[in-house]
Amino acid sequence: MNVALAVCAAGSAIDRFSNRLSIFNVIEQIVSPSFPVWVPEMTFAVVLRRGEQDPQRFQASARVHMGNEIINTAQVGIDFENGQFARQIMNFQGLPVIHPGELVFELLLPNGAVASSSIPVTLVAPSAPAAAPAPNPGS
Amino acid sequence: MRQEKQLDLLDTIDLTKANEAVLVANTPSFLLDRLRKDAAVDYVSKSLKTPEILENLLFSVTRPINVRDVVWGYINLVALGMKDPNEVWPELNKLDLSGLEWGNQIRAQMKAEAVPTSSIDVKPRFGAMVSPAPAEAGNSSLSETLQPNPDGRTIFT
Amino acid sequence: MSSILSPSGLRPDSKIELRTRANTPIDNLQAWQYSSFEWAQLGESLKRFKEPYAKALGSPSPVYNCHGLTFASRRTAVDSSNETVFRVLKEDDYEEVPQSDARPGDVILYLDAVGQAQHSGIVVDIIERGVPKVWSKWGKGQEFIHHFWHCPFDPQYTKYYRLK
Repeated sequence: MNVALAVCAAGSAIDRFSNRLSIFNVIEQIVSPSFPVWVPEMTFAVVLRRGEQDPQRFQASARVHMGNEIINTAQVGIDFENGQFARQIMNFQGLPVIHPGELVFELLLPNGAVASSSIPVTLVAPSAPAAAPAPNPGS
Repeated sequence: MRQEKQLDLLDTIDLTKANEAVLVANTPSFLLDRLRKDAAVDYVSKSLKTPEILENLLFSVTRPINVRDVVWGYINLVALGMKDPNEVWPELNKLDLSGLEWGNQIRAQMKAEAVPTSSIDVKPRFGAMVSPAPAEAGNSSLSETLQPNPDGRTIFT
Repeated sequence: MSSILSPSGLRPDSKIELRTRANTPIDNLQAWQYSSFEWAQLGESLKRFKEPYAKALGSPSPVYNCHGLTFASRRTAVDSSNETVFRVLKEDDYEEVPQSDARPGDVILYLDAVGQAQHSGIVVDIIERGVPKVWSKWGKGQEFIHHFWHCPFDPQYTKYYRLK
């Protein structure tokens, strides 16, 4: 089984005419001047491609973690419905990110493969305030 | 579907755009693309049950008397793509659609594009943290933050 | 020309011997089923394509399609798959030219967003602002002379070809 796509984004939609998947606002990184932070919405979109020997239907475990800290988990059912591709869209409705690091989204597949997307979480130092202007010697 | 009911339905649906699509199409993909967006197909998919649409389609492909039967056949075929695939495909796969010039090709394209999508909403786990600050995800940096105060309530800074 | 009718009285579909310059067979179909009159009943909405941007010519005919006009002198409906269309263009020695260089006699190909050829025609004129005017057959419907953008086919992705 191959992972055709695994990406984190702000949202996704399926075109009701063509059934095509659209991904909106891909998230490449999270930056914040302070922690912890609360990401209100994040979508983890996975497209799987089945080989002939791969199962049609199975349960898979999804998890979000930073290092050894598990932030969230979910159990999902994948069904290829006799086709070659299947999509799994996980909409996380609130993710706490406690400190900088790597925020990792994973979908663990039965053959040991993992669909994953890793997002760097960075502390960005606030810019120093502009220096106060020198007092006017005439005042 | 009883013939009278089908005739009643044909009287209420505007087939103008569907007629045009069938007339001018040079390829099955063009016809499928146009009919997917057609109001007549939408109406049929919402008004009729899957077995009724299958019956209409079977009638059109086995006894097409005139070009309007051809249009009706394509409308029903494409409308099936908007119904529950678990109900549609076991029956649709069995039909001989060669009575429609592009029946088999349109079915093959619909089947190839019918990628199943499963979507779940995952609620946050409680106890992970208290009153965290919202982050700006992406390339832009945060402009406002919510900071926890000692009482556990959140304030803007 | 005589042909054996089907039990329902219809003339059966047929095909003709058609080959590229390189002698490769070109798949085609002459669909005789349903008369021009019947097909014409489906064309009510095409009246919106009118002068000065489009002019309908003749009657609908299921026997040939757009590629049948462009590549086979209206004799038959040429297979519309990309494989056939691009083989014909290659083996008949066409080369692509930019739209800005298009001139009468060039072939115009309309593609959809995923690169499938959806329509073809022949450039008959270049009018103001370099807009090509095209002569093409709209499916089983009529032939039209039309501004390249004024037709049921998406004009966003067009390519032009000229015999070398």
